[in-house]
Amino acid sequence: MSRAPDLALRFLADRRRSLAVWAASLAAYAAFIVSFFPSIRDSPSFATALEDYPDALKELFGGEAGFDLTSGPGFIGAELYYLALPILLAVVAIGYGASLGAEQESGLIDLVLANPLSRRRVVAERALAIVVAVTLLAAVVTAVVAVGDELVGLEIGISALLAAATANVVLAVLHGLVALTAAAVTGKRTPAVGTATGVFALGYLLYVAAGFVDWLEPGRVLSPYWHATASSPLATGWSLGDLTVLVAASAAVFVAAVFAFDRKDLA
Amino acid sequence: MDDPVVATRSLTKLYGRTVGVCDLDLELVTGEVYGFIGPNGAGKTTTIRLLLDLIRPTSGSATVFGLDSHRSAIDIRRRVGYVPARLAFHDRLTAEELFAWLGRLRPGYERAAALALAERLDLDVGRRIGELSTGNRQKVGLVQAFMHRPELLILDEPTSGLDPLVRREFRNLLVETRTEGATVLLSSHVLAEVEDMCDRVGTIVDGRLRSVNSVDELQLLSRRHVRVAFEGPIGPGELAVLPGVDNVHVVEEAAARPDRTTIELDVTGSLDRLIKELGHHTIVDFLSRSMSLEEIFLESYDGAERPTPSTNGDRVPRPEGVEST
Repeated sequence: MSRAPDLALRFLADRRRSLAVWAASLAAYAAFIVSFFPSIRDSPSFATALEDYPDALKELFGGEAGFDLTSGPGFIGAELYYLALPILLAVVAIGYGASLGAEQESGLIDLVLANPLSRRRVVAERALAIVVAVTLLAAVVTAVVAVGDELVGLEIGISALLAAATANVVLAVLHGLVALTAAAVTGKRTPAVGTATGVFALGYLLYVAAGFVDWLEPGRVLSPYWHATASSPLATGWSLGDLTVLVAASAAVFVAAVFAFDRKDLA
Repeated sequence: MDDPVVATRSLTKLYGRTVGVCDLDLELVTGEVYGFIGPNGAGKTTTIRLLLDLIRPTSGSATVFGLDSHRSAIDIRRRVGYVPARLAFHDRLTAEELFAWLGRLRPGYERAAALALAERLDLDVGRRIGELSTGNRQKVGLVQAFMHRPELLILDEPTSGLDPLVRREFRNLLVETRTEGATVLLSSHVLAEVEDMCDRVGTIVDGRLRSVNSVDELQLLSRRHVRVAFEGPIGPGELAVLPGVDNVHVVEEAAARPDRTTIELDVTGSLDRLIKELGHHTIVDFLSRSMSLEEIFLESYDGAERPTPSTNGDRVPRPEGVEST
């Protein structure tokens, strides 16, 4: 018997092709966005055209500081780190978390659990696979943007890049764990995907609505999406408070997943 | 005597108001092949999943190797090989890759032993599991259950989808495994498929264990459906009087042939008397197949005449009189 994380390794190996396609697509998308930046920066009329946008909308694209689309952090944030990347990484993470439901539906989990290993290990290694996959994809994007930073002068800096990528990774992992918990509770894939997607959408809507509706503003602290993007990490760097909240929430959801799966009748 | 390998005490699993299993007292002793027989939905798989801690009892308890099925689940599974009723694998792997991966998760795996088993069952280990036929997937399930030489084999409907040659090899494998001291729990909904493999048979109906018999006793419960074509006319009455024969009726042929009569009937127990009786007639065709337990039990639910064993009637479980809960 080995002591390696064989379940997570198997899970990722089974998905290596799809992961490679994701990585290549995200890299291509990031490269495309970066290559666009010089022409935007050199077109002053573009910046003035956007000045009349409502503040709430500006904040959505990375806050006051970040909204300047002619700045590197503003442009890359709006086009990549504050909406597209969080969604795409969450899609991967949610799919991975929900797979625990699919495995209960197909019966694959029986084959695994007939071996001398605990259900906790199954949940923990699935969580590990989510973290590894999402980190890998974020790393690829970060590498592309970092190279672009050098080539076209985005003026973001590696620390701010890592801060934004980390926030995105933790956000995606949180939603992946929500899917994992829902899969552990329901034993099915579809409700797991639905629950986690719903949580993501609610978090996003809460953030948007809080910008327009005054009485909702205090409620935005409940939005994971707000914690991941509102501080504009590309412009302002690490926001440890927000990261702590997201990590703590992830830890709590992970404990819930372990608890739920431990008690689940795998019918 | 040794402690039982498997013992359940009033094991009960309810799903809302539906009974999975109820008050089940099951006992397997070391080195026996125990046939766990019942119609689909009777509670065989539920029992097996309780033993493996995949589901938890509503009440009662189960021990395997004297260990509590829930608290010591991991220690138990170290020593168990399992073929699930519903086979699902990592379909992109080849069988060989799957065995190697599972081997990393459990003690006692040897690649050579796994490959030898696959060879015996005529399984091509180099092909992706997703491309395999149902029968070959069944072989994958068998090899992974036997390959680490577990002390207890829990096989849920392992013979479904196996062709006769492989089935024979599987039977040999069971005999060898038992000789080496392992214990086997073998479930099936077709008694005839497993009766020649088992030392004892437990019958489960509606979640309740109805009886535990030696296989010889169970022969009496085995029923065959027979279809005979006679040359010339013959009435059903002649055959209906034979012991163990019932449900006799003349089949209306689509294309009426005056020179031929086809009769269908069911036989409980031995076919001997029937065959000897048929010897007095000219037979054009004879077809006999064993009835599955579903057919036998469903028949009794329908209120049709129940199969009456000709001897030892009281010792033999009867499909009727099943209490529903």
